[in-house]
Amino acid sequence: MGTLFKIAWRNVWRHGKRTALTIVTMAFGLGLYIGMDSLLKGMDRGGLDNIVNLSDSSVRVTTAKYEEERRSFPLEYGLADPAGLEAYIKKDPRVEAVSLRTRFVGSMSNGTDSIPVMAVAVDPALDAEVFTLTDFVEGSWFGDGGERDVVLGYGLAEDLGLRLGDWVTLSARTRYEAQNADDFRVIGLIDSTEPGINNSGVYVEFADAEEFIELEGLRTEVVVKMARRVNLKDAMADSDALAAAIERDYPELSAVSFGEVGRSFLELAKAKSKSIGMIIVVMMLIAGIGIANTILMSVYSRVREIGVLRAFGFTPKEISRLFLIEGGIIGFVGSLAGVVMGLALDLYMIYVGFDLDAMLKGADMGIPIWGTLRGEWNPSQFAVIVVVGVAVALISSRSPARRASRMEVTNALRFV
Amino acid sequence: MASILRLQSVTKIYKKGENEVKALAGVDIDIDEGEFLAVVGPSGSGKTTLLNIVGCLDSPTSGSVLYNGQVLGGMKENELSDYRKKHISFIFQSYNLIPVLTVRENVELPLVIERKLGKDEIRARADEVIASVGLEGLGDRYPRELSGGQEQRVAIARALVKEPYIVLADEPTANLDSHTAEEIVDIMREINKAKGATFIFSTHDALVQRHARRVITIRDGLVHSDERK
Repeated sequence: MGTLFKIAWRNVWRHGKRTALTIVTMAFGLGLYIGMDSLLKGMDRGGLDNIVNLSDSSVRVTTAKYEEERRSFPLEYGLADPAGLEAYIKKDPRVEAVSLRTRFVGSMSNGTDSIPVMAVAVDPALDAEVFTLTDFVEGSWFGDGGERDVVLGYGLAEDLGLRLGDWVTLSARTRYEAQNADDFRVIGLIDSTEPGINNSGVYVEFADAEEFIELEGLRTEVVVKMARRVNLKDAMADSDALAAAIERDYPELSAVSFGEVGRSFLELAKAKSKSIGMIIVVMMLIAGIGIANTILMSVYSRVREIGVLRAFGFTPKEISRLFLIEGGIIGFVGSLAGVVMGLALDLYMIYVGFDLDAMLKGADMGIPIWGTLRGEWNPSQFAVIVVVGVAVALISSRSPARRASRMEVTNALRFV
Repeated sequence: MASILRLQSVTKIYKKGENEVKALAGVDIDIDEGEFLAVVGPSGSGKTTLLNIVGCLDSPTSGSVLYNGQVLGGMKENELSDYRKKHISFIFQSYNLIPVLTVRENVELPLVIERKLGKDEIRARADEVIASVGLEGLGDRYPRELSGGQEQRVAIARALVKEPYIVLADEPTANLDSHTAEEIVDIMREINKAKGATFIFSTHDALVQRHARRVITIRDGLVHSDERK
């Protein structure tokens, strides 16, 4: 085996350009595949993180009636026992944080212009445990409670020409359908990776909302943060299980798992996985043809050598093995080069990423991915790539190797 | 001397489309151990076919080949490979060294294929044979770094390293100048004397014929003359 390998190894590099071309083709295909796989995995995870961290949390619980009319944020369908529900949810060990929210529709005015807004009354401390909005706040995420404070989206503030410390008028219908308006001080601006929040998001403290829209303790939704799981499917399963349990034990409630919210997003991801699968098949086909061609050329350029080896006692099987090893070496080196290229792509995408905001100029893609799109590590893929690369190389080399092994010794020795 | 090889009524017919070409038309030859024998004849007379059959590279259409009394006919491909591996060596007109192997590795190759000796023994044997053909110090060179004469010496060393019973040489001096050819023939003759290996040449070269102790002339696939000196 040592001599076979030695002859194979040196012959592979004897025609350096030919071999290099095959290896580069293979490395390019495999490297691209690794990069695309990383990007898709990153999109899955990025989209998931955005859903969970900024807009919907892992599980969002409202009354069933509220959910039916959710788009109008109806204040008449509040939760009957939010504290009891909160305690029930916290029993699940996978739950990391729970917060209560009350959404309401309103408009914000700077005295001249007025813009409709989606307002949310929150408990600032608890909300910050469920969502990561505070990571994107310029100014502060509420303060000492001395004034009526509001935190609003950066885009909204820009549209109204507002700055930190400015006063703004917020108008909304109260729980009892009365129109109310009051002045709030802008204490924080959110420049998040979610366009909806940036352009129309308004956050007030429960303490201020109580009087403003006559809440009287009304809470319309419970938002839940569950422990982050490495595997997307596991994370979805956790959320689905909790949502199902809540709906089972509280039939009057509607619990929406993030998996449900992101269904269309995940379907899109699945469709992309299929297309990337097709890309790898095509790439491997091209690489396979390249390797088969390289080995076949090698066979025909070494017919006399094959004859000599046979004359000195090499069996047909050993001749076949010699060329299979050559194909295997090309496959292995090509796959390794592909992994190195893929690693470089991965590193760029993981540590630098693509700034979607800059690329899309704040436009909503229709799927929950905002901000910087980053790749994800998938080390097991590297091993799979090497195994698949070598397997493709061996399969491609089989036919030319068999051809070499079946050559008549006398004809091979006569070959010029 | 004992007969090492016996060819009995050996024929070889090649089919070319509808036509049949009779390369050997019934050859009977006895070859003794340690002979230094030249097979001569015009092109297409059947010399190379004869050597191919003796070397188990090809099988006769009819007749039999006996090696030390054992009939070689009916052997499978792997058995023929095994037979060649153990008993026969080849020297080719175009040297046919493996270009990616060094001189030493080329010479070691038959022993490596044979798998009888350890690494150190193989190396020692190879160095000894390389020295015996006058190439000491060139073991690490590649064939492309050698002259034609040096390449043929390596081919001789490669053929002799496993101490075969029979060395088949197809026009071994055809690509060499007369001075180098004489040197090569001298080397082979010395080894023939010293080791007792049987040398069978197919050749047109008068020099080889002059040094051969037996000359068999083949014409139209038949033994035309068999002259011992």
